[in-house]
Amino acid sequence: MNKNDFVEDDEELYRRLPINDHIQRYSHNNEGKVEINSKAFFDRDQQPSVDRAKLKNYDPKTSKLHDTDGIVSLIAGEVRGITIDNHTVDVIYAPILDFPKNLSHSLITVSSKNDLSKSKRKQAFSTLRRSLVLLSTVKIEPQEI
Amino acid sequence: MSYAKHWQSLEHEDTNILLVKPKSFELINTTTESDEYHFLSSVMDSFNTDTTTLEQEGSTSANIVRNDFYKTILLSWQKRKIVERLAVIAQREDDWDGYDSKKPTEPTINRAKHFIEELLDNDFISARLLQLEPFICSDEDGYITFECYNDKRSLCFDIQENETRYTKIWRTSDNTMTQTDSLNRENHLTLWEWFLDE
Repeated sequence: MNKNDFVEDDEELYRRLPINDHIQRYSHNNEGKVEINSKAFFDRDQQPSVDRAKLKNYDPKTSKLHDTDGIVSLIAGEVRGITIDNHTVDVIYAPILDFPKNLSHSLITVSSKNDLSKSKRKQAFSTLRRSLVLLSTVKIEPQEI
Repeated sequence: MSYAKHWQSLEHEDTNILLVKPKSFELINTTTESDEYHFLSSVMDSFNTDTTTLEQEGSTSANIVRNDFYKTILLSWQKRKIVERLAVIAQREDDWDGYDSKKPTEPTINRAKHFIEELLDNDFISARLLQLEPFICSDEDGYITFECYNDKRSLCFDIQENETRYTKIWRTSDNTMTQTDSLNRENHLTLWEWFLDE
């Protein structure tokens, strides 16, 4: 295993924040600043994608897919420090080699130590997403036209 | 005076009058207490508030008008936002988000309405709703979700047909702790006190 294959605890991660459409991922607070909610980490496979900042030259703009996208950042060790009953939270390096190639791509995972029902898996993922909101810092605000 | 996009405190250089303005209302150029009163009146009108009474109070003391603005008008506006948000969610159909999410059922919506009404009726909680800006949505199973965040804590609710579950999340120096359980009459207020106790 290449030492670069492991996401270190002190690594910064970028998560893309598309502008609101029929899904409201963020709102503006009293001061006009963007505040995200758990929809910002929704993922059909319950493994939200992130990019490793150090493989993006620490330039959050490079994690955008669209000009209007915002970017939030997380710290890998803080993500792993999320404590959910009978679950382990991890950040796993998962580079995408096919189109669209993304060598910084990683996944935030929540896995159960036991075999759980679908509803319990969903609950754990929901708690993960909400925890990620608390750990996130908005680096670039989405730009609504 | 520029039009602020969001809630904002505005201080007049000449009168030191503070206003807080919801983003959906346009602010007239208020340079005098009289103008300020007209602005407040227009906002009150949109809530069908008894402006006659307030006018009498306003004529003797702008402070009374301002107090009513904070206590009554802004809170009403915030409450209305929440109720309207729930109404939008209630109109959803299956696959509303393109991810096969289910629409909330009528019993779920009724339970959510009851949950929110109880919340708004509680003086301790509703008085803080101005700062909370809760995020209300529905999820893939048609549960209605209610999320509140501050810097270090989160209090979230998942409202189903027959049960409401809560999740509390808090940061410690090393970790982020979570707890999920069923909501009941005994723990409801305690949870809010925990969340709001900074």
